[in-house]
Amino acid sequence: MKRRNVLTSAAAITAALATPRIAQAGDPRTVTFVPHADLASLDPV
Amino acid sequence: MFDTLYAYDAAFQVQPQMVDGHRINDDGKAWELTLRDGLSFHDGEKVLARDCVATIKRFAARNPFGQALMQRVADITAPSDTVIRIRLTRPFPLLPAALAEVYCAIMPTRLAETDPMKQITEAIGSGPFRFEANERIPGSRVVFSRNRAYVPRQSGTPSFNAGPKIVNVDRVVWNFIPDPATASAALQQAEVDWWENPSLDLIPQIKTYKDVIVTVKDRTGEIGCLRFNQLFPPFDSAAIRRVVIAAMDQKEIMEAVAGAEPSLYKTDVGLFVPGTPMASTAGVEITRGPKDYAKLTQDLTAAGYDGRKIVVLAATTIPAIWAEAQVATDTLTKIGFNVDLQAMEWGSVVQRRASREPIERGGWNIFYTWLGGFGNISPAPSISLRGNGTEAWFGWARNAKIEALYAAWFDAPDLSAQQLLCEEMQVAFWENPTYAPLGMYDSPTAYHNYMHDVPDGWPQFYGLKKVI
Repeated sequence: MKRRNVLTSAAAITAALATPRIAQAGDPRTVTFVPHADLASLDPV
Repeated sequence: MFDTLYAYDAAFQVQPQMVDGHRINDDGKAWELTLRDGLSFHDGEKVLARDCVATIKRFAARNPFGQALMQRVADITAPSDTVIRIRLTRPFPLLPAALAEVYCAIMPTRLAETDPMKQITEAIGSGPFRFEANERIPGSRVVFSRNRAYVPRQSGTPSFNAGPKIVNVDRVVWNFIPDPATASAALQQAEVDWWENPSLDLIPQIKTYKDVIVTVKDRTGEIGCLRFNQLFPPFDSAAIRRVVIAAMDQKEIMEAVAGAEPSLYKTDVGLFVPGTPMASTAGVEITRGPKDYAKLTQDLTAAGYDGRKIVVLAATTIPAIWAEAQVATDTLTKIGFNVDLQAMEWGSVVQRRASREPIERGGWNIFYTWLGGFGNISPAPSISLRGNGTEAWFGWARNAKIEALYAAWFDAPDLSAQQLLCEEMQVAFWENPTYAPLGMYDSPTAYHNYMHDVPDGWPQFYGLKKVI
């Protein structure tokens, strides 16, 4: 594997594993909400 | 994200939402619904009547209220881009209520033609928020952004799902935080604005947080549910299910779930939330303790239980489910069930419960959940009550008597006739139960006091303002 591919893979893994940044409550145009569960389905039915 | 043709207001009355209005002819058997102006999907396409027809058909294939509607439908067509025509075989005054179900969420025809038993692959609605698929982190984050093309209806009063849906924020970010202590800390430090349903044992602590409001917004409550899979032994036997019902002590379970806030819970729970018009006390004595476990063990054997393993699915990531599951499963063990309790996160329960395979091939015998929404106060939208076999909710219950009473309820001439039918349903339910009710609680929600005009009902993000 070429070094560039290794770096690309590492970056992708880092992005995937990174804890998502929680938007700060200070932004009046963004509501941050903790749901009872993760969104398991996109289907309303 | 999605919008509906009609909508419930906070008083559970039905109001027009996507429809401008309707006309009724032929002694209640011909309905013509006209869409209001300004409706478009998130992909830019205009909402057409044929999209609504396709959506109603898909909704009706899965939803009990929709099924009740379609049993009375001769045909449903779109004679123009803005008119939906529904011809009925007999009058059905509850038609707008059926179409006000949030599950009848209008989507483009290309998505509505998806097999009703399979999930849609895109989330394209016409509501005031859009789903940002590229920002989703499964298990962690979901983002919705304001739909700037959305045109609120011009008439009516904002109330729950009804009236003009005025959006005052640009983004709504859901951060799924499975650990209640972490979520509580995030709320305290204002890293999040709103926690949908805080763990009940943390409520006393959260009430001490500065500038945080703890209140009950959803008055339909949460009813504990131990759901049986009736496709396979042992729970294909009504006699064995009756023993499980008789073994469950609602007070013991609710103490574990909501003991920190006893004012929030109720026992003597049958099919509907106690105190609401359709609720009945018929037969609820069976839910009370104390229990004679030795006698129940004998009853279980007499009912034909042969000691086979049962697979029980329980979500650890939702504290109220995990609490009810631990107490109820302990009870199952006490009366002699050979229990394989499988603890997992809620998303896995949602996937596993859809399996109709035997337990040797990934199936299940019991799962736990909480029943919420209008089905707790009316039989019409109830998913847990129905006994129509393969058409029924997970567990695929069969109960011809309840089905007959359910059908009769829609044709009942007045409230007292509806109440009598609900009482008969409850009697039939205890005889041939589709699940065990485990008590109920009112679910509090917690948010910072800079959040103004938070709507009643389950969480909605239109109408509210964030003033800081």
